[in-house]
Amino acid sequence: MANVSFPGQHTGENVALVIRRHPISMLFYIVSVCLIAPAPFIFFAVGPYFLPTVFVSPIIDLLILIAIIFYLFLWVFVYVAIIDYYFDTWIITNERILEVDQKRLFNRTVSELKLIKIQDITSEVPGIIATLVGYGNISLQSAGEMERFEFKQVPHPVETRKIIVDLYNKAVKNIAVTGTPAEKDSGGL
Amino acid sequence: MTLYILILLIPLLIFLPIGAAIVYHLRKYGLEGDSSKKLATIFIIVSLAIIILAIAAYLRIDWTKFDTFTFTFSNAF
Repeated sequence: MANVSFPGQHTGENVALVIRRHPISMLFYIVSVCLIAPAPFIFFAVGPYFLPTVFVSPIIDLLILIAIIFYLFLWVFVYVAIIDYYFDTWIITNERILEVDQKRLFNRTVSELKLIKIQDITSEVPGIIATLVGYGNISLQSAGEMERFEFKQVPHPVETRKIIVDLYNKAVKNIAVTGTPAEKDSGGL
Repeated sequence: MTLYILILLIPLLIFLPIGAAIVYHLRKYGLEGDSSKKLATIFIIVSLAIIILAIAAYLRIDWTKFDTFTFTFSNAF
């Protein structure tokens, strides 16, 4: 069981897994930052050879100020990317699956699927890179709903699918023994 | 001279609401037991450090010399 809790967690509900996308999904941001971050240093290293009249005080001091402001906004860019990655979460508990979809800062969707409503679960490892790096997609088909619940680019998709199947079996057994599970909602994410 | 402060103020005024939104998200939507609060603290500390550096860089500039700035800059090209 994962040692985390979330707002709206039911009494007796335990978090089994918290899944985030594989870090490979951040590759675009990582490469972008690695390419952009050294730009001011390169400019200050190479600039004096090409623009010697610009690289004198006080212009050089102004350029340093502009470079620092550039890093302030690069830092914001990095954090917006981190939030996009870190809050795109799937929380799997012994009762349900919560999908938190963070799209930029002010766009957030939370969906919920009861484990007992799962009808079909599929894991997919799409291609060579996914096989080598170890990530894939999991899709869940729920009863009575056409829309599929999808975990995209998650690490260890096969193992995760097995865990969900185990939790589903336990939930079904639990219902057979105790009847319908209690649904006490104390808020939400 | 006074208008030069806008070079620093405008970026800071753009940064502050975005920074506040980032900290708000990390503190409000993080799960109990994950690293979101640590991430928020790191964000605040590093942002403050960069802002202090920016203020120091601003204060270091001799703005009185900037009458010659345009002339020097245009001569460079």
